Amino acid sequence: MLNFSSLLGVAWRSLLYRFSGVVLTVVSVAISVFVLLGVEHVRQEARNGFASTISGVDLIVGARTGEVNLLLLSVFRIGTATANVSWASLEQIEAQKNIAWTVPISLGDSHRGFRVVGTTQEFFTRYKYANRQALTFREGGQFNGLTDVVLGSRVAAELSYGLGESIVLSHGVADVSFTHHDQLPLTVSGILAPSGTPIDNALFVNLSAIEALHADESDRSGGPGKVSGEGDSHNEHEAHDEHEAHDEHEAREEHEAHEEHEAHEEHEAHDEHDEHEAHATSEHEEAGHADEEHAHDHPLIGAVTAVLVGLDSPIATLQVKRWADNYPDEALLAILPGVALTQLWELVGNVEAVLLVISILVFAASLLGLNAMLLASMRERRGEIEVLRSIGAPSAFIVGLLLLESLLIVTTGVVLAVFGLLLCIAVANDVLVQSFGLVLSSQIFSSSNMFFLFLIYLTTLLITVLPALQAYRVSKSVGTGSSET
Amino acid sequence: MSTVTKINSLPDAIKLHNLNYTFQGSSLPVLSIPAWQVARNERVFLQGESGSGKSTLLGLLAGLQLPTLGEVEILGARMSALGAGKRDRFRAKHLGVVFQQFNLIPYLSALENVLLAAQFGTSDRRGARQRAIELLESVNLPSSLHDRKAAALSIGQQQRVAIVRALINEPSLLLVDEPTSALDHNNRDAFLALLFDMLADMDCAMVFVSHDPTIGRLFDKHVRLAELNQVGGQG
Repeated sequence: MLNFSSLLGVAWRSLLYRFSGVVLTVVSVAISVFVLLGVEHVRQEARNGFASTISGVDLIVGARTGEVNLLLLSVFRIGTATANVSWASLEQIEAQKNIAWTVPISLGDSHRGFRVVGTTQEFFTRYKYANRQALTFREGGQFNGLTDVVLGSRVAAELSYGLGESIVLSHGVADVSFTHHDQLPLTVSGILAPSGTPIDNALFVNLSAIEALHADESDRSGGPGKVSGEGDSHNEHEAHDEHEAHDEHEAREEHEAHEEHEAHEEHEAHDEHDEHEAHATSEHEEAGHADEEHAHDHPLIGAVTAVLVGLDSPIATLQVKRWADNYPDEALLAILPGVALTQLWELVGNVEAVLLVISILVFAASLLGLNAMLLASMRERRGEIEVLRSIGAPSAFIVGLLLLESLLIVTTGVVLAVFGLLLCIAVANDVLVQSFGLVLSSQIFSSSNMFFLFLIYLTTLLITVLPALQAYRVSKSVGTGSSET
Repeated sequence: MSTVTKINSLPDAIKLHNLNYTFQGSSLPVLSIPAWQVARNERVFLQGESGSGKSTLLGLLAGLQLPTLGEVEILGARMSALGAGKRDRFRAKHLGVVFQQFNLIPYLSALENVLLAAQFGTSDRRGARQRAIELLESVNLPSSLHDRKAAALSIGQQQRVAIVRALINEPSLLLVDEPTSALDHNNRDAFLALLFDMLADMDCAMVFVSHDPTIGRLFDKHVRLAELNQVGGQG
């Protein structure tokens, strides 16, 4: 009866006969599918990349602030610490049941616009990203001495630093700082491999080194801390205009030195940041803490910005979080990184929505284009169908022929698109990681992409079978190539 | 042309009874033929102007469509009693059709066009190939042209391939619709001569439809569609 190989042979010759048209169709299908799968893939990878910024850390503990704020600060290193976690609190955290490990991080210094993280050696083994992937070194290794520094991949790439380079950290986080820790130059001991996370944009030094830098500085400057009088503070305040990067923080520090009512007046004078007020308020609650009067935005000696916590068992997570949130001696906040990341993504996820809309539009456009081409070819093949009918070709043969051709066209387009996309991902990945911190996996067959492909095939099926069946039914007269009487 | 002796025991090639055909959505019938027979092996010339419903009639005879009313019996088989699939198979096995133009699948070679028809009508594929080659040569298509795409053949050559394709399954009824309208005078005569030549040693009835009465003299029987068709004013 119906011989598939003969059907395939006829379909193949038919496609070859209309070669240029078929090639155009295939290319247009391939481009549509490429854009569709590509946009959708980037959308998902952006989301996954975001969600995989940090893993393997059960809790992040910092001074009390918003959950998203703490996440931004501790993971993305955006913003500044409002308060710190004292060593005493850190020790209390470590003493809790179920705590497997803690890694303190201390922020506040920078190097040519990249932020510096003071931490312990354990950071490199404990911090995980993506699917519990550990950080790896592209060159060198972790810091050992006080004068070692580890560079994130993008820092090294952008500043063209190599191993052994000697660099000087700057005080504060501004690109241009007036205060350099030039009494203690650091040597690059290692460069991390790209991870597509904020790790790429940071420098890592030994926590003790940060402390040493600032202890030294405090000594030299005579210590503007709690001993400084009113007059000193006012002088500092006058210097703000030239020293904008520190503005917010110094202002904040000053509030503490003032009486409370004075501090509120000060807010009105300086306040450009909404969060400022909240910070100040929380600061005031903390007024009892001696160490916090240091006039810098990095933690004091004896305090860290946040603590990454690993637990023995995830079951203990909420218990430890509750303990930290209710810690009596210091206003702490513990966040679950995954939950906070989700919250943050909801804030910045508009990008994803835009990409989703683009995906849908591209999809609609590709389906319309495909429909138009297939329908046009159906019309032009009316005569051919009449010939086939006149020699007694069964409807299955006619429908099968047209369907097979459509499927061959679409499949070739899809295959081209998939290989093109994989090739592009392979070629562009380095650039994407370096420039955008975006890591694209080659797992392009996500469920939504499979769904898109399924829809493409489904519509191909419909727009081929329906006109083919119609053509079969309509060709009732013979010999005209049209349905003339 | 020589008249082949009729085999009386066999049913007529064509038997129409109270045939009536109305297009869907139209109230006036296009065709209304109370009765018409074509005997086995009979070659009938059916003269009709375009628009007279001849293409519709051929469609009915070929089983491509069913009459609105009445019966079409081809080789003793009532078309309305057969489903669409069975009519397709019946057509493939027992009928041959030649159009005025566009008879062939353009992207298949001459031979492939013939073999495709053979595929639907017979199970003997190897024998069909041999037969197709012989038939193509007998209509003056040398083997060098057998593998040429139909679209690359001249119209005269295409029409000759169409005859072979229509006859490859040894049909009992050949329906021919203006096969010469696209040919010049010389080619037309050559084509007709060839057609009769091919049919001479076959047990095959033929209905040849044309508007050109000069062709009619070659036939045993000459019928005007307007005489058959009770629907007036159509031509």
